[in-house]
Amino acid sequence: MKNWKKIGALLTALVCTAGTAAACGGNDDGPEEGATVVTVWLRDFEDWSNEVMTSIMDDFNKDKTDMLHISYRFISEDGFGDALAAAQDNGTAPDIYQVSYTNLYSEVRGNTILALDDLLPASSFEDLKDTAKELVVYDGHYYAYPQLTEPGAVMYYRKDLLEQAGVDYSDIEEWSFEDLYAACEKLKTVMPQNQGKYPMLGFDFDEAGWATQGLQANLTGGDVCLSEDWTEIIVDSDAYKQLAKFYAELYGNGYVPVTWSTGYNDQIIDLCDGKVAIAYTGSWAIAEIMESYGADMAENIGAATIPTLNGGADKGTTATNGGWALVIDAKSKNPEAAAKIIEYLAAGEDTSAPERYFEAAHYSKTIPRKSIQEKVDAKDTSSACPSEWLDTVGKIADSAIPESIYTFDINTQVIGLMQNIVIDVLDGMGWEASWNARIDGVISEIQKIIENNGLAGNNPRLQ
Amino acid sequence: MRTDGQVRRSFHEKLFGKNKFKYRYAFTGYAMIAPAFLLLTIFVVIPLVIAIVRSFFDYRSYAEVQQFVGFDNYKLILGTTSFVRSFRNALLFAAVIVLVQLLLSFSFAHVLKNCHNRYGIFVRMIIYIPYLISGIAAAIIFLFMTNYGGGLINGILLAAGLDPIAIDMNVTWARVAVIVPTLWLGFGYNSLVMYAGLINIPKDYYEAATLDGAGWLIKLAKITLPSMVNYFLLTIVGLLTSSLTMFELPFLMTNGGPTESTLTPVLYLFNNYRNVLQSSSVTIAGAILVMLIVGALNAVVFFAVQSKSSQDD
Repeated sequence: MKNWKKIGALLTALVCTAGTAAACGGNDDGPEEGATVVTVWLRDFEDWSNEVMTSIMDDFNKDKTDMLHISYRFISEDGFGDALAAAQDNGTAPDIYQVSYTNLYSEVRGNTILALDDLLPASSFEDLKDTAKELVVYDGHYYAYPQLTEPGAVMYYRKDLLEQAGVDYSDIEEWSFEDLYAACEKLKTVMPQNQGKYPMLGFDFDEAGWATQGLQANLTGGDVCLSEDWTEIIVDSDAYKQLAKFYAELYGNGYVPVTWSTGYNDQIIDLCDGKVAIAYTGSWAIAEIMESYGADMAENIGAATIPTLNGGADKGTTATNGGWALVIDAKSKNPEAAAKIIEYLAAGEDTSAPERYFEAAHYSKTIPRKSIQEKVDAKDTSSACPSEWLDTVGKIADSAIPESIYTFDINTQVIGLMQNIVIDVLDGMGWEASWNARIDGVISEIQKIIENNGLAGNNPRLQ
Repeated sequence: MRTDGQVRRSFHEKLFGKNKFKYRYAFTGYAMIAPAFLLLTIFVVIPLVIAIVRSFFDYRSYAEVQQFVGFDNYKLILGTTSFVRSFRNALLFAAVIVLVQLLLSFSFAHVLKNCHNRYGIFVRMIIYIPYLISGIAAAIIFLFMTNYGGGLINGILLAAGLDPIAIDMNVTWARVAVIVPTLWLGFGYNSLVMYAGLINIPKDYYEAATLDGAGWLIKLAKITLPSMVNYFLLTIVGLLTSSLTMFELPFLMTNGGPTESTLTPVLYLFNNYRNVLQSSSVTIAGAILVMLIVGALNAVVFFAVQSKSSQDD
């Protein structure tokens, strides 16, 4: 009886241990004797992404002669920040981890990461595209190596539904706001609300704080919420009035649903399911279409630059470049070994690993390195996804700007203003009257945030 | 005349001797509170002390020297409009929830008191079930019900020819969507507490009052309410604390929106912890402020509603 109890206890312990290991999402088949173990923490993204990264790192570990071993973990996005903060407090932080471009500056300011200038070869940095370079340089130093970039605002549309509604989309790349409204008006006939269908899904308010930054820059001519040096608030302007009007038109005319359960990042699902005819989301949707819906659906979907106030062939900035970069922890015991791993994963002369990643992503992530881009351009990628999508996304990425790095509360205030205006419009108030009633309060709040956080004149991208 | 306690003590003293009794008693007592004391020290006292100390520093985990900033973190968080607004929301929630829950549970306790048959037992059991459900599960249930596209409530409204309600685009309905599940979760428990209070009031009081010609209002004011003071105190303190520290329901139902109208202090702190440009010490200072304010409000309730035993003393 006692033995059975012991066996039971052991089995329970085994199951718990296996469960914990599985929950952590790591894998480790053991390093070669005397090898330097480099710990890597990655975000738990889509299945295909985790699978290809696992395969890439497992392949590295198969080589038992390099005296280097990657011990990796995938951690959910929700828990990543807490896990990392706890590990850094306890002295158990990984050697390498993934950082979003938006959060990179806080890591620099907190001295939690190492500058990579002397750890990676200069050729790795020279190979970066300018749009990728500006995301990782502070005070003249490279603090991260870009793994991928993603333009956060692309307009996808269902060709069949637009045709049914009699919308001519041959010039969709040049659409203005007015063209979009006209198309939505026509789409109302084939997308009846009483069947739970709507002409389009735009920028929802939960994600609009970052997702609309490209459009904001387009309207203002470059800056987002604050002047470039962060000394002046530019929200009380015609540009932001146009953004308010845009929101008021979409919601007030029923072109978008008042509320929607699918978040901005996944709006492509509702487009593919035929619940909407047009959806805004990021370049990552390409992978979702190809992985979950396949080539037949892809043929029926188009991708275009989002409409702007005046439209036209050259719209300029319409999106931000988000994405992920690899950094080395400031207290890493093996920074040189960690740099070798970053070379293998993203920055080295041998580009086979990042090429594998971008191929698995159906090229839905834009490539930060010139040499890899050239190789991909020379390939036939038509089996990965429609080539016109890549052309569109590439064009959007080339003119995209980095996301803002001042405290996010400012973006929350601006999008809160837009949401309040929409609520007022839905209650029957005019958008301009709502704007006039609310703008002073928002400006005063933003001013307080600037003062509390000492932002004025301290944009690190200018220093 | 000696009290029962004095009789018991002298019996033990005769049996074990005065000192021996004291020693044995102390050891058992300390041994019994030791696990709780140890756990509280590890998981409450030490983290609280660390948090208080950290709230006075601009804490950065990799900084060589942590910079002492005095009350700057407290000033910063108190100067943050969203944090102050979250307190206003929480006070509004607390006022509505305490008032409505007290009225509902007190009224329903009377129904339970008069349910003498087997259905009474069944009803008491059924109404307690929501209390066993976590706030997360409750939020999911209510999210299904209030879903804009296909929820039960909006389905009924549409069938009745009315417009559907988008809770995340309407300040009033968003607040209702947070308050109703909170009331639903606590209704059974609070009704049973009130019911326990009601059945503890000696029937003699009511019979004597009836003989004196008192009506139901006089009985309520002169017998029921004064006898229930301790139960009201327990309920108010519990509801006040849970309302001011609400997190999972507003987080899941509305995520604090629309435009921060359902943002609560704990939800604000949870979101603000991720404000990467700010030291985590600011959030910690906010958390300590929440603790102090909730504690202070409860103290006010304790003083305002004097407990029965303290009145007797």
